[in-house]
Amino acid sequence: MKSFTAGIVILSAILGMSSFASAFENQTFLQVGVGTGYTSLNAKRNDSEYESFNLEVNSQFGYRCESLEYGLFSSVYVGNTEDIYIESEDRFVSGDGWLSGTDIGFYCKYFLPVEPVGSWSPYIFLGPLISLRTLRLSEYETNFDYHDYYKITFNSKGAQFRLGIEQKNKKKKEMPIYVELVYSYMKKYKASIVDVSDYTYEETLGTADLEKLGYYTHSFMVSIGFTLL
Amino acid sequence: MKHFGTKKIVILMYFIIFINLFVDMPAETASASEREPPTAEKSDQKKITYRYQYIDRDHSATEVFKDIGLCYGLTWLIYPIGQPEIYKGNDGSWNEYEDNIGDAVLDRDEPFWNLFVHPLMGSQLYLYNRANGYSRWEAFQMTFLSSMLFEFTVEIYSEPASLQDLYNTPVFGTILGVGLENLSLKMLNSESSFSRFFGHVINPSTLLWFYEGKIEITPVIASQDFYGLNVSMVF
Repeated sequence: MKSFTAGIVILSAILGMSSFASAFENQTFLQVGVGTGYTSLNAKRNDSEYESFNLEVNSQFGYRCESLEYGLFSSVYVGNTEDIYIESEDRFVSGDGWLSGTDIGFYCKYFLPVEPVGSWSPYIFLGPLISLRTLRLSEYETNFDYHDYYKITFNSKGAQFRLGIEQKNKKKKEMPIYVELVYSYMKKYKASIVDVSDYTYEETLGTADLEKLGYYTHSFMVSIGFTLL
Repeated sequence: MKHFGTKKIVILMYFIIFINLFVDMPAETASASEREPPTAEKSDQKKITYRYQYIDRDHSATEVFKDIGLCYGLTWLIYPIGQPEIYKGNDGSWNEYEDNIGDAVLDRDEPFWNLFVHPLMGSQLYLYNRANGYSRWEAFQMTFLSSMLFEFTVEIYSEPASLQDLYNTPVFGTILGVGLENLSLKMLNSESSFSRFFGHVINPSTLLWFYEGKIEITPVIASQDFYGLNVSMVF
C-alpha cells in the first residue's frame, strides 16, 4: 500500500516536472469520460455474480509520447444493489442499498500501429489500481445492532485493462474522442463496518468473513470520453 | 433515499456544467497575442459596460510562488475554522501531524465530501488561478500543487492525506472549473442582470481585484461624425 502511494506521488511529481520542462506542449493532457457497466462484490445472497449496475465518471491525465502514454487514472461510480447478504461470525445483515466506489491507479497505454477504422487509433491500457467500495444499505434485515448510519467498506487492489479507440491526428483543442471497454480484476484485502456519524468507530471483519465472501471481484464497463486539456 | 431531491439537484448541476465543457471553449479564451478588441454593439441594443474573458499570459517565478504561497497560507487559516473540532482542540495534534507525515490512505468520507465538496473547492482554486492569468493547463497544475501541499502539510494535523482528495480535488476540480468558466462567461457577458449576478456567484473570482479579464467599454461620441468605443483593461 505504501509503495503504491509512493508510486502515485512520484509519478505525479514526474508528470509535473516534465510538463513544466516542456513548456506546456501538447503532450500532457487531461481526459474525462462517462461510462456504465457491472460490478461484483461477491456479497449476493443467491450466488449470481454481479450486484451492481453502475454509472461512472472517469478521468486520466498524463504524458503522451508517439505511441506510448503514461499517467494517473481514476474512476468514481455509483449504482444500486439488491439482495446483499453479509455474514460475520454468527451475525448477518441483508438488504438493498447503494454501492459507490473509487478506483485510483497509474497506467501505461500503447497505441497499436494500425488504423482499422479511418482516423481512429486502437490502444491497449494496463495499470495497477487500488479501490475502495462502499455499501450503504437503506432497507435491511439484521440480527445485530446494525444502524442506518453504518456503511460497509471494501478495500481492494488489482489491475485494470482497457481496449479502446481514439480519434487520431487531432489537436488537443479539437477534443479528440475515445471509446473503450474496461475490465478490472481485484482482490479484497480488508472489509470494515464504519459509522459515518463517528469515524473513530471502525470494525474490521475477520479473514474468515472475507474468505466466505470471496476475495476476487470483477467489473466490466463501457466508457466514452474526450480530451479536455 | 431521504436526500433524493438534493441528489437530483446535484446531478442536474453537474449535467449543466458538463454540457458547458463543450460551449465556446476556444472563443472565450485568448492568449495575449491573439486577443482582439470586442466588436461594437448595435446601436439599438442595450450597451454592455464590461466584457469578461480570460487572458493567458506568462508569469515570473516570483509570481508563481506568490500565488501558490497565498493559497497555501489561506488553507492554514481556513482549515481550522472549517473544522470546529480542531479549533476547539478536540481533534488533531502535532504528534498526529508527525505520525501522518508522508502517509496517504483511501479515506472513508461520505460521497458528498469526496465527489462534491472537494471538486467544488478544486474548481474555485482553478478559477482563482485562471483569474490570475494562468492558462488552463497551468491553472490545473497550480491547483494540483496547492492541493498536494494542503493534503501533505496541512490536513495531516488531524488525518493522513487522502488519495481520493489528492486526485479528485485538482482533476475533477479542473473539469468542473472548465465547465463553470464557460458557463459563467456566457452569463457574465449576457444582457440580463439576473444572469450576470449568478455568473459572479458561480465564479466569484471575477469580482475580486486580481481578476485580469474584465474589460471596460466606454462609448465615445465627440461629434456627429466621430464616435467609437474606448476599451481599457488592467493586467
